[in-house]
Amino acid sequence: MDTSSPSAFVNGALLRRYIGQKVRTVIQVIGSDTGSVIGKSTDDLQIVVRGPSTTPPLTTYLEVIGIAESDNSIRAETWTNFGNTFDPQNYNELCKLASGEFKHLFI
Amino acid sequence: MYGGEFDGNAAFAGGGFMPSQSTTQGNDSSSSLKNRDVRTLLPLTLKQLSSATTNGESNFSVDGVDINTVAIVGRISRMENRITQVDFVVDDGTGWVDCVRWCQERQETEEMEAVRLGMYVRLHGHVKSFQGKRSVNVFSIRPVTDFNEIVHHFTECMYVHMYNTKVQGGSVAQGGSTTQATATPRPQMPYSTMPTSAKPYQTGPSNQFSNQINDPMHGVKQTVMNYLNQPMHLVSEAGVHCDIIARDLRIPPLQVRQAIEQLSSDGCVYSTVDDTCFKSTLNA
Repeated sequence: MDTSSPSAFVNGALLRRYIGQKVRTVIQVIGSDTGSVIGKSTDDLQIVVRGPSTTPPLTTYLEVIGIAESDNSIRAETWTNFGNTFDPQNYNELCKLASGEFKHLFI
Repeated sequence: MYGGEFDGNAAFAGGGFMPSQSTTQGNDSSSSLKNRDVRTLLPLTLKQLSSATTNGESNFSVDGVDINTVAIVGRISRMENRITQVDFVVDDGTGWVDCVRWCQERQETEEMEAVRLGMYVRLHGHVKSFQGKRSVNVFSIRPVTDFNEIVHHFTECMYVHMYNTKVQGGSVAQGGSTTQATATPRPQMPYSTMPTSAKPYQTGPSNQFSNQINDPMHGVKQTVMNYLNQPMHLVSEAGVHCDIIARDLRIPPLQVRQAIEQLSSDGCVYSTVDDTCFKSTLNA
């Protein structure tokens, strides 16, 4: 068991706090290009995800786990389709709590 | 139903994660329960699990609650199928843990076949420790299909953590009759800060308290009890006049009267100087 490399739950606003660190977030996919996906974070900010050159079919919501490169981009290591019925508001609140009052349960 | 079964009352009382309604008539449950009689199902993050305190053997506790069964939601990041057992690693974003699933029955094998590398899963299991390394012995696992479940799991972890830490904080403030964590039985407080008794995952001494959803006075009774359980009122010999309670809490005196009558017949408060002044029975 190991907790030395956690990935922080972030939304658009929290991403800047973890630049250079491993983060995870869920975005709503707006568009995709070869090697990158543009999405809207759960707090309505734009996030660019750079990933593997072949992008598999994407559902509306996509979870990305990777390293935060800047305050609006992530270099993805893993991404997972989260389907079309995900609730972004709940996730947004979770991010706020997980980086705030309950940070000690996560990082 | 006694000892470890999940039932509807427990679900209403605690939000679904309360394991046992350890209620029998006349059973002084608070003083005789040992670790093995308390079956808890705790949703945890792996960070919480790794920081669980242990008493050296296989007894772990988090936030003062003994761990029996844990619920984890995470991704499978490694998996090795060895026919009679499957070794895998689950990563939930806060950490990773080694898991083992023994597959001796056909149903167990089928359950594991539905799970694949890279999938998000929900698992339930027991925590084991061997040479200082913690692992989980999984007895139930299934893939996550609706990803809101992940958000729900972490939210539940936060809620349970808050519940357990608040309950302990509340009890310590109430007169300090018990100085340790949950291992020591605490007096049953059916109308304490949280909807169920002060002891985590144990409901009140009898079934009457689990009818809170049918009880319109429950909120008022709870407020009055919280008020009377404040340290300054617990130490006062004369208790508090019910008009003062009404004024301080801004509840109509008639409602306060009604609440106090019910609380008094439940044994939670008693009248002191005359039948207008009352004190909580906690630490009485």
